[in-house]
Amino acid sequence: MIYVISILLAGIGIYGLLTQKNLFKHLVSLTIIDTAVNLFIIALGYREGDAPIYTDRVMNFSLNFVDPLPQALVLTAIVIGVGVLALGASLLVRIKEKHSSLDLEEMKGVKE
Amino acid sequence: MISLLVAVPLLAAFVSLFWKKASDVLFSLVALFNVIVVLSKWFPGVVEIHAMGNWKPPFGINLVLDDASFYAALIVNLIFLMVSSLPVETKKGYETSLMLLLGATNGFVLTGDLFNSFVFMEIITITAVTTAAKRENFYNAYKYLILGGIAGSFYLLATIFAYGATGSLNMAHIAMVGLSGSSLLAVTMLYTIGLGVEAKLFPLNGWVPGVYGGNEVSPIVLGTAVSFAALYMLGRLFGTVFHGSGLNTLYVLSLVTILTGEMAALRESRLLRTFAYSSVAQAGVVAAMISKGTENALNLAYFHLTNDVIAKFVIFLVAGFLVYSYRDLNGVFRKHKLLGISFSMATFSLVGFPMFAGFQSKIRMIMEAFSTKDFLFPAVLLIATAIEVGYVIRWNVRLWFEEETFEERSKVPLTIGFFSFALAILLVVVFLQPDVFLEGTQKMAKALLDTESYVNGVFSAVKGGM
Repeated sequence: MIYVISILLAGIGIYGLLTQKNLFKHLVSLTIIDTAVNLFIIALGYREGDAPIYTDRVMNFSLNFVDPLPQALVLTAIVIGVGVLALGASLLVRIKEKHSSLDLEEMKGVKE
Repeated sequence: MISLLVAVPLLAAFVSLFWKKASDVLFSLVALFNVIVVLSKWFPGVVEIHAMGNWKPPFGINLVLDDASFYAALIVNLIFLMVSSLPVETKKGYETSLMLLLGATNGFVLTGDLFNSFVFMEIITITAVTTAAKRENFYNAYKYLILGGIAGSFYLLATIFAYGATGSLNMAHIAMVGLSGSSLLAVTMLYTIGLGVEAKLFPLNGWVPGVYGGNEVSPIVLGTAVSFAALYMLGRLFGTVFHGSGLNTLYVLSLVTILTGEMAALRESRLLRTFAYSSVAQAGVVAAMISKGTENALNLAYFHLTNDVIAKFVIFLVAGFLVYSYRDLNGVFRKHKLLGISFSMATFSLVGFPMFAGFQSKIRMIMEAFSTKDFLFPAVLLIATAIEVGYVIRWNVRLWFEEETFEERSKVPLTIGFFSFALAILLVVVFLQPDVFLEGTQKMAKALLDTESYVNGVFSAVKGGM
């Protein structure tokens, strides 16, 4: 089920990137794709059962428990995503100042 | 020792935020330090690793230095050393991002861990976008950021698929366990897309002309050092880790990249953007050779890449200086004879005229393709060369012989003149003595394809810890 949601979200993100004319919406779409990938990674390591903590209930490595590594990876990926988002937002502020709009059709003086 | 290549630039970048006046000197010192560290390891021959925090592979993250990553690190650090000694105006205010870029590119080249390489690729994207935004080139930098972000997502997805299939993120471990069936297909496809943006492969290279054409510093860094790192990673992943699987898609994509890149370069009317498109096409040539997957082909791919990187460094250095010094470029080389000669030599090497390094690599690539009964690649390469002749001659004629408008002659900074001429001479030397590079690229290609000694080297290495 979670796989379906993350694929749907990625689809929404890619659709947004392809169809929207507002640059800010591109950034939002990128964030949605990021979220979809993160969700997918979490879902990959998730098992119904125990938290990834070694307690006396989980002594055996072959037992069912949540894989902690994807969660660590997602934490890193989220931090990177925030960095990209912040840089994108700051570039958007400068684009708005220079070209007086964020809409691709109304931007002035854009040199391709 | 090798972790210093990553750690020192990161630390210096942090320091430079608080000590802005010294950031230029700091950048030069860091680049010089890195070059010395790399040179002290001169073609190690064996696999040397640095296990972070003393976690033995396959646990933890390890940096790997073998012949292949040594050669890539050498090129990257030498380019950054040259960039760091360019005049201050060229890179004023961007020293911090350039230092971060140096650290990230080194990390990307050296890392032996897939997730770690994803992190370094994202740092490369972020710092490259910052550099690309120089001279108010915000819109094109933004486009690069969006494309780089999507590529990062695909790269992460590929990494996690590889983890799901093998239970490891360590490249050596994955190479040992091996992927198969549909997971191999998914992983290689996703990596092709993920690396495609930095390696400038066909549908993902829309950002290149805007970013390279926007200011003078981003093409000389991104078009040389970062391209080399990305194309090295392509060889490392597909050669060492995936044992040459999934290369057919790459082959087709790179042939399309060559043709579209050259056509776009021919139609382009602005100097920096023309050679940005040409850089796309040359990346396609290298990727096509990498996708053949044999040792000889890889050797020639990186030989050609080295020649192209040198030629592009000269071209972008000269072009970047001229574009931002003069309003009208017609006949500008009559004022700057030395720059003009270097530029012409570099462009002729790009086309592959005899007497220049490009000839040696192009003729060898064509012979290699014929010897493996591949006639498509030579055909594409020759068509591309014909187109190249068109725009190279056109630009040379325009810059040398067109009627010049009167403009005050601006002074050429010493380093720009020196580097462009010295590298142009190097291109002639390589034509006369191709072994200068071929010996190195030969070792590099051998190390890239020798999965067994890579795996053994990583697992048997005892060195580690800080």
